[in-house]
Amino acid sequence: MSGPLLSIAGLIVHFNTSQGTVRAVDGVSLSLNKGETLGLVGESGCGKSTLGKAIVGLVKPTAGSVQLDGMEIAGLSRGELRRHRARLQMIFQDPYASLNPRLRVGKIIEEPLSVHGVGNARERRAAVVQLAERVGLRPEMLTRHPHEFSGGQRQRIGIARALALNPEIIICDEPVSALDVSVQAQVVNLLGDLQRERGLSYLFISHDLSVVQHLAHRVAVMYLGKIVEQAPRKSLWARPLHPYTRTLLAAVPVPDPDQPKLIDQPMVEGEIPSPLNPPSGCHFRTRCPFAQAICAEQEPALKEVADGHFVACHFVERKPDGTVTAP
Amino acid sequence: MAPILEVRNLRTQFSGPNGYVTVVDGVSLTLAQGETLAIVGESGSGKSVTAMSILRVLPEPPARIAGGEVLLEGRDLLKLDEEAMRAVRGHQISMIFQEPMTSLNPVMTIGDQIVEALCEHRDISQDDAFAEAVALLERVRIPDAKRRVLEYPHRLSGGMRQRVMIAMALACRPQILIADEPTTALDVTVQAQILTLLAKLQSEFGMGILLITHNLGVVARVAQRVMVMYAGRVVEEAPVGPLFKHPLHPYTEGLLGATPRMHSDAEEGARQRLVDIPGTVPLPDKLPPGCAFAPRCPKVFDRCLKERPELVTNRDGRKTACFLTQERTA
Repeated sequence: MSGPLLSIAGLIVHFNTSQGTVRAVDGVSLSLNKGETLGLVGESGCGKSTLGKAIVGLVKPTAGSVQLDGMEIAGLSRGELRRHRARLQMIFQDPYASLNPRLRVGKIIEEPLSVHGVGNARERRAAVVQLAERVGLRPEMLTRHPHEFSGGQRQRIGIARALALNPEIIICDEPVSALDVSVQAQVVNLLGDLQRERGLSYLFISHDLSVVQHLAHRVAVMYLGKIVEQAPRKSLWARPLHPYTRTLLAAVPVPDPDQPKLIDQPMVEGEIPSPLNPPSGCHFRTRCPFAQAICAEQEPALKEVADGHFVACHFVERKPDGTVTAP
Repeated sequence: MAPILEVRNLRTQFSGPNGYVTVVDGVSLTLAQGETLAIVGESGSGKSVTAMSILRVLPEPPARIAGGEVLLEGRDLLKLDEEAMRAVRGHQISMIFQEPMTSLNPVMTIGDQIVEALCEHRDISQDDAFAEAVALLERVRIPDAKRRVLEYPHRLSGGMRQRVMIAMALACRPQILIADEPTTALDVTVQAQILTLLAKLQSEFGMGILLITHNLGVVARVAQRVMVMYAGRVVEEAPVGPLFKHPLHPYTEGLLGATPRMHSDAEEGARQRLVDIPGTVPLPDKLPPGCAFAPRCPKVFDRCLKERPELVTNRDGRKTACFLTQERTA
């Protein structure tokens, strides 16, 4: 079997600010297979968006490797990256900020095709009409400007543009967070349909665990620049092991008054600390109800405790008989 | 229990280029002591404008309250002059918002702002007010309150600011708290903390909470009754249990189906396709002639396109504005 389509190893993104170094992404390794959705979840400030941007080269990684089909793309110049852009695209939370307000929508969707010199003008226009129809925009909408569209339609424009070059991977950075729930459902369903039709791979970055459960085959949970747990969808919800993952899952309000909680976990106090000055050892220890002395002294390694289930916690252990104990 | 707040037939309009546009159209509601009523709806449904009309904090013009009554213990707030209204705001009815920074003064310390709020409504010395400010911050579980009281709002995280807002809103022990998307901008773990805090304070103070939110999960967790709004009108009202178990209005049904929900068996969550409500909420000046939801409704029939269904109470005490449910239960 061939390796993963996208493979990230030891990725570090540090920003130097007047107040010190922000450790936004601090040694992350992930892989993404063909046709798969990897959900990347965490709260604001955990570094998940920076990680997405570093993968597509919108932010320069400080260290580490990003391999697309075995080819290193981390730290490439803009020009060198352009050759890979056809395979790797990104969509954003606020499509309006990523759409040129002065261009007509048709031109916006066509732009990647023109930049990469795909086809002649007539072929490109035909391709744009097809793309627009696929994402649910009517052909007459193509002559309008982005401000004439609702949030959901703008996200459709962003998706059409991302699809133009027929990519293999789309990094989705909170693509439905700003949308009303009825429109969110339209976009979530569209992303699912496109994946099945085209064998797309998604890195789906979100703070919303309900959406992630719906779309992702595997899930990675990020906290202050590091992955604390990673597992196939089924095992993550069947048995979340890291205290932070359990906290997150317990905090999600479920739209069912008879079933207020999925798992019983004490509510954590406080908020995510600043990535300028993360706690020593395990970053979560300052909010963890199970923290001991060792958590401040030693950083727990991300280790595989069950098939494909990785956890970074000193108190999650795989016994010789294969059972896993968790705090 | 007798309601402390009763809104009857509230109509709020905004002036536009082609005259006044009705944004809240005949909304009625009641709120009892210790009760939480959730108003849910998507952007443009009129839920926030309803709340702001009750407290009369909309800028007039462009806004105007064109009709209705807002009865607080029988007294119509819409008839009060501005000075009398100021005595109501913060004292009997308080409001908290999604973004606390818009209502906190950035150049005043937190303590000074709470002291100001206390002195506005109560005959209290500065020293006593300051001591009470510290006590209030402790009550909303701000760690190290004695030190925090001297800080400026920008030094606090989003969750801490929302706690300060709650402390200020509750400073005068209001009978009613209007909470407009109070946890929407917060991370999910902080949201859980704030919801728990609000529930605890409600059981201590006994205030009625009018919760405005688009998040059905939050509704299920904290509300007793729910009002669903669409395009400026109430389309359904019911106790929280029956509404989630058996929604009557096709829009409520659509909202519940469009909301992804976590299952303990994740495979089940992934298998279910979300309900797709086509299109978007219509603009208030472009409402269709019949039912405003008709163009998006999967159960639409000819009567819906011509005639607007009124909100009717069914035999079981639930309210809907839909010809289908009215015919079924009539």
